[in-house]
Amino acid sequence: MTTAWIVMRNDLLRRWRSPLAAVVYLIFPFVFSGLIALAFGTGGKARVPRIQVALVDQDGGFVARFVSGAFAQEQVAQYFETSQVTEEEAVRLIEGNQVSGAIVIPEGFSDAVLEGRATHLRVVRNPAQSIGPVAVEEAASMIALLVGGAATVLSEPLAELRRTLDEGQSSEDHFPSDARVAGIAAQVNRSFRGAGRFAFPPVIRLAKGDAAADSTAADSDAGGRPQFLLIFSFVLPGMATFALLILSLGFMADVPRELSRGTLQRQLAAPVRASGVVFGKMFSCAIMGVIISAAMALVGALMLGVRADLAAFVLLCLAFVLASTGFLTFVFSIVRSEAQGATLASIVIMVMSFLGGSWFPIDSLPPFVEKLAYGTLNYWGIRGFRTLILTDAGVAEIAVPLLVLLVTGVVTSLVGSWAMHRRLMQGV
Amino acid sequence: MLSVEGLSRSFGSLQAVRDISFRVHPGEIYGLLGPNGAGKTTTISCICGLLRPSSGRIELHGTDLGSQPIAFKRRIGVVPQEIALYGDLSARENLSFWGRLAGLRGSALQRRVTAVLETVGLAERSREPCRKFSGGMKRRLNLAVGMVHEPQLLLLDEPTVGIDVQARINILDVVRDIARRGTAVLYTTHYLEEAQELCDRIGIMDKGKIFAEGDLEHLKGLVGEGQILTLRGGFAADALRPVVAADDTVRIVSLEDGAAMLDIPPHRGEVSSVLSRILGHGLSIDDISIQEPNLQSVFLKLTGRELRD
Repeated sequence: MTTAWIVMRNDLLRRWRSPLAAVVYLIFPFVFSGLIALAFGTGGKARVPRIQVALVDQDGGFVARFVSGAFAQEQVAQYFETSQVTEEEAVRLIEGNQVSGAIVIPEGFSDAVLEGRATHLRVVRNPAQSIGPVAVEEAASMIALLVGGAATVLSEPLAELRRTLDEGQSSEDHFPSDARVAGIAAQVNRSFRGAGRFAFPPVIRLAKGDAAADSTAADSDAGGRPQFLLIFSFVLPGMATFALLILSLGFMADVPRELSRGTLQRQLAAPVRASGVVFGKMFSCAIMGVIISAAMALVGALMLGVRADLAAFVLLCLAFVLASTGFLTFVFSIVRSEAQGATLASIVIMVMSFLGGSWFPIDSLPPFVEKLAYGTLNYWGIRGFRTLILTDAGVAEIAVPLLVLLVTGVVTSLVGSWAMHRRLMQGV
Repeated sequence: MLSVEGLSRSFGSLQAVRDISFRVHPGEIYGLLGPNGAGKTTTISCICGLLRPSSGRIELHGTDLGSQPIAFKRRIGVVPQEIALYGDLSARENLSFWGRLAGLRGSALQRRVTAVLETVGLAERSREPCRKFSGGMKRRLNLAVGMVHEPQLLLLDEPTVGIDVQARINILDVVRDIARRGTAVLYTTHYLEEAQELCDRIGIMDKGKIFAEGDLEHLKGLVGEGQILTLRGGFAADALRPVVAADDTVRIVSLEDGAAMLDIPPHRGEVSSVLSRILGHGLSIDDISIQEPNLQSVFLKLTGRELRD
């Protein structure tokens, strides 16, 4: 143990004398998470590109104008930008990938609606796009539902309105009489009154929320944290686990590096056991991991309002650092040079980070890939850290990832230290 | 006393060290002289426990390396060929680390660190990161690390490679001083002059074997007591051999086409007599040199090839 202590102390002193790498390990997760949060979570201030829609009005009637006008409503206009075109022009715009789709209002649409006959809206999707056409289709079906509902509820006044409009076209001043208008208004009023007991107040109200917490506002959570911080908190665990793995890589790469410089041979020529030297290297890596984790937690808590149960957080950090140290010790015990080790370890870490959810949410990957995530350290680390940061969870709630990481850490540390010791004893 | 008996070490089919034996007494500087690849570093690595010998026995004052590695290593200091230091740490921090590993603690450690810093002339710059040091200073610190815990045996593996003359002289002085205090020193080198100047006894090593060992006079005696006549020219070895063999007093040290080294008796006129005979047989000589026997001629005689720096 004395040897391990001496080696660990020396390794940490070297890092203290040359702290750039440690600072990078500390800053990296914050910078990267911050950039992602800035890109995707500016509290609604960011202007999402509007979806371009071509509107083909082959009807030109009253209801068709209502459909066209729906896209000009403020809430809809935030997301859609429409242009009135002919069908040929719509096809040309789709072929030129200038619109996500076209909504065609067929001839006779208004008459059919006003007469209560079945009709349709036609949507032409742009096959070159993925999300936009779906949104156009959804918007069209929502309008169809609204128009259909309105036509059913207001069938009587609509029929009267139609008759009035037809008659008005033949009159001199094109305007109906006050009595006809008043009659239609009274019918509308009766229809609304009749439907009112079903429609008001609404039984189901739409509540907007996000993955972080229940919320009724899109740009902040229940605790008032802005969208930026929510996304930051969501991304940070992935970046933190990646950074801790890279940190372990940097520390355990010291073994082949010191072998090439002769300092490790010199340590092994001293009156010490090789196991002491190996454990010293592992301890220094683990201590640095804990320091970086603590620093990340402190910065997160003080500057960004990220909160978590302290005991659970410390336990999870220790478990993850133990697992990453053991794992990287094993990787570097089977390589013959620093370059070989760095290459192999980098590839393994990148793959684990990809599959484990450090870069992308796991549920956005195919199901068979999701299952592979269970075999990565990142997955369990992210799961635990995210639970702690985004909910008021304690040790009990993160028991599963904690146990998985602890067991993995113990096993990989034992196997890794044994393999490294064996390698050193074979001769350097 | 270091005792190496029948030491061998193989790497697969390559036999790097072949059944070598030698002893180094307290206060003695024993040089292992040989070209690169002779097996010197492998021998040192076996003695300091980095490589397990394929066979043989290594003892220091009765402590066996194989059965008591920690006790054995506590008594030795190692100065490797490469500069095995931490550049980010100061000279003092480097020495403290290696001293701790060797078992020193507290005030004893600080006292020894200060002492060796003064010995190698780095006391004034002891707090600077050693990456800022010159090559010679790093070499001196490398040497200081090996002696910080006052070992009974100091192993030096080519400690003067790549440094200037001044630093070399300084290191050799320190090594002499260590030996004077009773430390046994095993010193490997491929510099003839260094071995000649520094070592009390020398082992001539090549291809994993020690061909001969002894002090300089003894080794020179292996070549002969006369002068060494070196010839270069356009002659064939087969043509020169019978001419030289005709004189019983002349011995061939080495002979190949265009180059010969002959041991000539130290009698007056002997050299001119030999040269007259050779030229009389119509052999072409372009270059002649006459010198006293030295390690170069010893090495050439023993191994059949020249030892070049």
